[in-house]
Amino acid sequence: MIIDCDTHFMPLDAFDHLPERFASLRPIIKLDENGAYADLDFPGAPPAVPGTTPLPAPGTGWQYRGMIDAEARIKDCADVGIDRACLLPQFSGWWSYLIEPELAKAIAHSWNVATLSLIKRYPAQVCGIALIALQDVGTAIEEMGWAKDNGFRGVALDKVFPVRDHPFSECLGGQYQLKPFFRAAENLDMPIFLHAVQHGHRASNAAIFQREGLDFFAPNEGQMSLVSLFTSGLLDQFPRLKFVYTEAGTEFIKPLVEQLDSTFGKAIVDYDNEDATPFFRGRGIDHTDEKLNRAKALQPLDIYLEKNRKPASHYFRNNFFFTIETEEPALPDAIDFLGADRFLFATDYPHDDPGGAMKFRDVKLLTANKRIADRDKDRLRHENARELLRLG
Amino acid sequence: MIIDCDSHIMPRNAFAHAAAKFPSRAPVLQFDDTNLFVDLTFSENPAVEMPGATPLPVKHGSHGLSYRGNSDLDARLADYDRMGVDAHFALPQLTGWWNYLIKPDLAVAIAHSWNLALLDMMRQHPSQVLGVALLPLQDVEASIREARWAKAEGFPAVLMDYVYPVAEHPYGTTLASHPELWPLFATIEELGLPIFLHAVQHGHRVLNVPRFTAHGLDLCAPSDSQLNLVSLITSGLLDDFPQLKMIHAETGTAYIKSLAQLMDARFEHVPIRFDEEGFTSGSRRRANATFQELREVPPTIMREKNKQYPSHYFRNNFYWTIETEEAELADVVQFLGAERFLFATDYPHNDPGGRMKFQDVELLRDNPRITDTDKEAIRTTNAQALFSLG
Repeated sequence: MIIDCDTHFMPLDAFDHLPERFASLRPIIKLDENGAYADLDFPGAPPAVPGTTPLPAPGTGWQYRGMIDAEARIKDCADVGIDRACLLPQFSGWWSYLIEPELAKAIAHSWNVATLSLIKRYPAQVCGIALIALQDVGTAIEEMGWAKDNGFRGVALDKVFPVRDHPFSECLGGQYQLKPFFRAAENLDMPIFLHAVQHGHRASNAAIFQREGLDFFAPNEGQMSLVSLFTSGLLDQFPRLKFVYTEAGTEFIKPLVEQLDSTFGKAIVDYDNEDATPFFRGRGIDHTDEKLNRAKALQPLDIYLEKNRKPASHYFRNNFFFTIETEEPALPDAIDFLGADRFLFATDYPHDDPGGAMKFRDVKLLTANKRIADRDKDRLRHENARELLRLG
Repeated sequence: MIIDCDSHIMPRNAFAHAAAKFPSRAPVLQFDDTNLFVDLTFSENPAVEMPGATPLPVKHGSHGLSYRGNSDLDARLADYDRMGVDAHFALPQLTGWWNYLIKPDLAVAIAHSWNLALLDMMRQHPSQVLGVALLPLQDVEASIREARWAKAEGFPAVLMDYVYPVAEHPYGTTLASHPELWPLFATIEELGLPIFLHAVQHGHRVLNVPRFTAHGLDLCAPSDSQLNLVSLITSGLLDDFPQLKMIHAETGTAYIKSLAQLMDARFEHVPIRFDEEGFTSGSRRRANATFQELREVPPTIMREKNKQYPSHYFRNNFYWTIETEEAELADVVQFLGAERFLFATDYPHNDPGGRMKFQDVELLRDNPRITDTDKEAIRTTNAQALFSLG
């Protein structure tokens, strides 16, 4: 059996279930002359934040019939040997946490209602991942509860939290207002899928990264947000939370974890910034002399410092799962490093971007990979997903 | 003979010339009743007033103000005698009074004033004090004149901040993102003057970007010095002026090998960002001239322009001062070649760069993984060749 843990879908009735009062604001799907999802109008879209670099609707993979047609999608999956697929939204051009909260809640619920009808029609092939509007935490918790009650297996959040103040986005771990939501997710045992939304709030928007290839230095904002989930202390507070980090590849995992582990509780020497104490960061150090430590800190120390009680590797092995890119040469090493139980098969159907470029070959690529044990392949293909998502 | 290629000084008369020209505007040094330099006042420092900037104060413990050698030349030379170092390059004690946002007229005066004070010290002790001339980049023409003057007066090098602060934001910019500086670089190449690149603690840093300021996420922030280093390559500056020599001061050396190798690997091979979902995967532009998305500037600005593999410039244009305690030092000496490295103590600083200042000589001498020939190069002959010292 093969379970695809990252696919995208735009139900044609995705936005037909909003209350009447949002009729003039709701997104409107537009089809081309061939009936393909070609564009989207969104009168209720929030004002653009200067400096952002969004990707417009419909987003990549629009030309595949399976983007909007469940039967076509199921056939495409069956043709390559995939039995079941987790449906996430086709996010581009309409979704962000900057949408007015009432509208966002209505849009999310509408998409979820449309997806629920698919879950009911194709229970063996479709696995629902509910869209959640984090801009109103109370209703987000309600929606997650509704999703759980109606058979959704997970919820989908943006990897980052865009804000109106700047185009760089914020990390999820720093959004303290979300703590009740994360508490509820832990209580409900609801896995959280983290997926990029192409609203264009990125670290690489900083002017310094926009010249002469210096985006080379831009940190990956999704990875920063992932790290913030434990450096903020969130995963000490809610240790049973499970996150599925999608469409990021796996090559980054080992060097990131090793770097984070190496700095856990250890002095970091920063020659550039000339702070008197060579270990500006680091736990176990007496930080009472705030003068010496304030040079870099725009925040008070209790905000600035990382709070995780365990090394990063603990959280990577206990709280995080990663969808795979079967073509990545680094995949077997990542599996060796973290363990096969952390990885989930995914195609990113129907996208044509780097994440989805191999969607019709992923099954074969995984099968053919000589450096991954057959036992581990089965874990990636379905066992991990069945356990995580509580599938039969 | 040992030559220290990074030290800091504050001559007592550093701003005398500027004060004569701008009596109420120049920085004013403060000394305690034992004549120890303890602080300064400077009312026209726009960089530190920028919201979101994180400057270090003058009195910050890292600056080594407790050492008399900061401003007392005799005490300084006594310390150097104690360290076993024969000659040293004297860079300014830069904090609190220097940056490229100071009004040009004042900056020109301040730079020349400091250079005059240092010239005086060089003349008093020509075999021990080697001056590094300050250049006011906010006035390119004046900087060109100052560089020519410095060369004529015997300064072996000039100094630039490797972060160019701007008025728009507190994150700093790289030197090579300022095309107005090209005529200055042309002049410096013509004069054969090496350029020291050194941090100035005005607090404009990429670390100030909000997402780096909480929960230890500064770990994810790039290094300002490395950003600048790469920009010198990727801007095409070093193809335009291939004879330029630049010393990356007090940045450590641990990053060099991995950075050079990573840049070389990406020179032609476009990296894949799975989560950017752009139709074309590469976020760098060498291989894809038409990449439209994910940028605010035109491709002509975005695209890296270096014609050679990045490691070429590492081996032809760049030098680094060393931190003798760094575990990676021997490996990077092997990787790039000993000729790229220069001994330094960062006297009198107490920060990471300078905390080993009274042990640096021994640490290098006793490093079992660096050959004696290479040690000699690092201590002496590299500097003699680079700065055309006798």
